[in-house]
Amino acid sequence: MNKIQRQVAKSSFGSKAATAARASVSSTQAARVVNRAAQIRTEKSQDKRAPK
Amino acid sequence: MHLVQHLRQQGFQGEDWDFFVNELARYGLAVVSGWMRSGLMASKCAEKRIVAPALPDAVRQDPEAIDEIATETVAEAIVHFRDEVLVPGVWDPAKGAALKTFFIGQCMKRYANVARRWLNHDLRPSTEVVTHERDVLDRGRVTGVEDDVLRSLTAQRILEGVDNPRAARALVMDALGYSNAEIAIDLGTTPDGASSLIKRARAAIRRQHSTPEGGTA
Repeated sequence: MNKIQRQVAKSSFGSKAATAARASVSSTQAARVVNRAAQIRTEKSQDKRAPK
Repeated sequence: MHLVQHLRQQGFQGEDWDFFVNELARYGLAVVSGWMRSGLMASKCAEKRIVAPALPDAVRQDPEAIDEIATETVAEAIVHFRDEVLVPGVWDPAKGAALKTFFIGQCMKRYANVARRWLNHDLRPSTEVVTHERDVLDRGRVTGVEDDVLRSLTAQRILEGVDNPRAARALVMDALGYSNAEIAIDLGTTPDGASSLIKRARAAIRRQHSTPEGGTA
């Protein structure tokens, strides 16, 4: 287990219930959320840069 | 050093941040979709004075709908959680609230808007959808026998009252040559969500109309 994994495990995300919840989600589902978050982030920064 | 301090030192970016985002995605999806399916979400939001629309039973029982709403909710929550909670240091571990509780609070805030947007698209009067989609179907391109069959079947499904109007709309737009990104914007979902909706709808239509020998009727 590397440092970030240990820190997540020690945080509230590392409780038994939270760990079980995280484990119930597939990598594909998680990747879709992560990709969509990146897309939203890009759109947000483009909106900020756009002249008003 | 705790998790947030560690991520702050790295500017909330890089490999460790990406790992954490993945964990946020997993946890958020599990909680949000679970509360949506069980019908708990509206009451959880009400406890936080967040006005969220109640989901009709048909939506709560539709795994695709749950997946689309939860995906968009959690994705938006991740962006706002970083920018409005973590970066400005709004979360204070000394004050007792757990970091995961803060994150789920952010998911609930985002859920209200996402669900509203989704429902506005999904619950249009069916007559409007039929008129509009029949019209665009008539102007659609035909690239082969399969598309022609799919177009006819799509039209038939629409006229008969399709179980999933979003899937019908996505199929029609796809047949007309719209990109997944354009379909996603129209449906209020992600390009991946639109793509999988189309694939599932096409597969379901093929299954319904395939002969025992494996050909298409």
